[in-house]
Amino acid sequence: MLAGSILALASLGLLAAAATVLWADHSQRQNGYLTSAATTYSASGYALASETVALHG
Amino acid sequence: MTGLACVFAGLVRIRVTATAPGKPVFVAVAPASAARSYLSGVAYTSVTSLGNRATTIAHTGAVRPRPPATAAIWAAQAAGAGTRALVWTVRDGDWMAIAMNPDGSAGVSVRADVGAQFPALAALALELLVTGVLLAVPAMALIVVPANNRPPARHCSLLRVRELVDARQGNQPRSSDVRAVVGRTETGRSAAARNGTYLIGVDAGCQQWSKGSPMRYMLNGFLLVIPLLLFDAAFASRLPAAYQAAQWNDVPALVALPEGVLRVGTMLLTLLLPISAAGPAQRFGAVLYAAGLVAYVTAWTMQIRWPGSAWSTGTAGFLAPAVTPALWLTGIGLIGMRPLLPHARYLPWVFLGTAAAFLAFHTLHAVLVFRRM
Repeated sequence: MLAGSILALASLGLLAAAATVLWADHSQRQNGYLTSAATTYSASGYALASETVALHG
Repeated sequence: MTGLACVFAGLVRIRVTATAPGKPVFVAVAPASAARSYLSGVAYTSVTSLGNRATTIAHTGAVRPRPPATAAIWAAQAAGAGTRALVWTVRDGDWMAIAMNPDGSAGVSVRADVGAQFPALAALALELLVTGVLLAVPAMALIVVPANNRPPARHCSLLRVRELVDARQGNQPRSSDVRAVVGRTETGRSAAARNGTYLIGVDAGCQQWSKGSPMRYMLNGFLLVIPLLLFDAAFASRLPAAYQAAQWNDVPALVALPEGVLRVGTMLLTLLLPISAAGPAQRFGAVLYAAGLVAYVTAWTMQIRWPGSAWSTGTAGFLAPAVTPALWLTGIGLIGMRPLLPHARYLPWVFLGTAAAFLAFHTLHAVLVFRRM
């Protein structure tokens, strides 16, 4: 009973995650891209730069 | 971003528009070390977090940089007036994105967003879904099977008697009700009347009742949800714009997430509610369910046929599609009041509680969308 309830909770969690991902996949795309909110950035100098993004597979 | 995200992201797109209309802009991605040496001695600004609460670090310098297009360091670039989109295939390494004026002059102001394709998202959702469903099978088995292993014979037989009493709309059990229960089993041993209640020692009868035929499990509350799901699927796209994904889904995750979880929970719990018309509560439930269907369909019809009317744009009319499920969900809860399992008498209340919590978040969701209108 207890084990069953724990499994049921885990199952519900996975289903909720699946629903969230499906929702993002179907309704949050703009031209196929999941996109951050557009924000205005300003610099008085010569450039705007991002931080270093480290990608190491 | 980690290595996993690198594989997962697919193409990355950076869209940049100069805030001054018609002004050209240059946007590019370069290896971080090359970008840093290009900018060494130059005054520029680092954006250390994205979004509305973006934070920045200013770097001072006295050097004027070369026009960026003349530096051969960029892995991907885009330049020109209007909105420019840089599309870049993610690769391993340390990277930096830069926005500048194409002529290398000072004073940069842009509106930007970053997007990624995440091409495997649908596959991920499918895997989560399949794992969740696969996990639900042993979960249900573990919850259901122990109950059948120790049948509370007396309680169970009494319930059966009560069903017979309810079926003839009586208040007290008669000996004929008890005989009907005992008579159905071969090992029925004794029946005794005490204080107007019949206590019966019937084991086999309980086994038969609690396990029942597979049909007992097939006839569950989810059947009552299916018509509504089909109705939603058929007509959701015809609802006014405020209910469509672009506007409807724009609510904080703090509301959307519990709403989603509770919606799934409510739907799953209906699977454990038997459809029964045995008692007065069940018949009242059936009436509520029918009334709920009419109210729900009416609420949607008003929105679809007369979207601009005073009713449809008013609070009550706008919230009606979100609130009317209270009627049919309560109906399903009452119809399922008869436990599918002898020990699970509490289940209708678990269901009604989950459904009420779902509706609270669902209504809050609708209120948030409504207040934006």
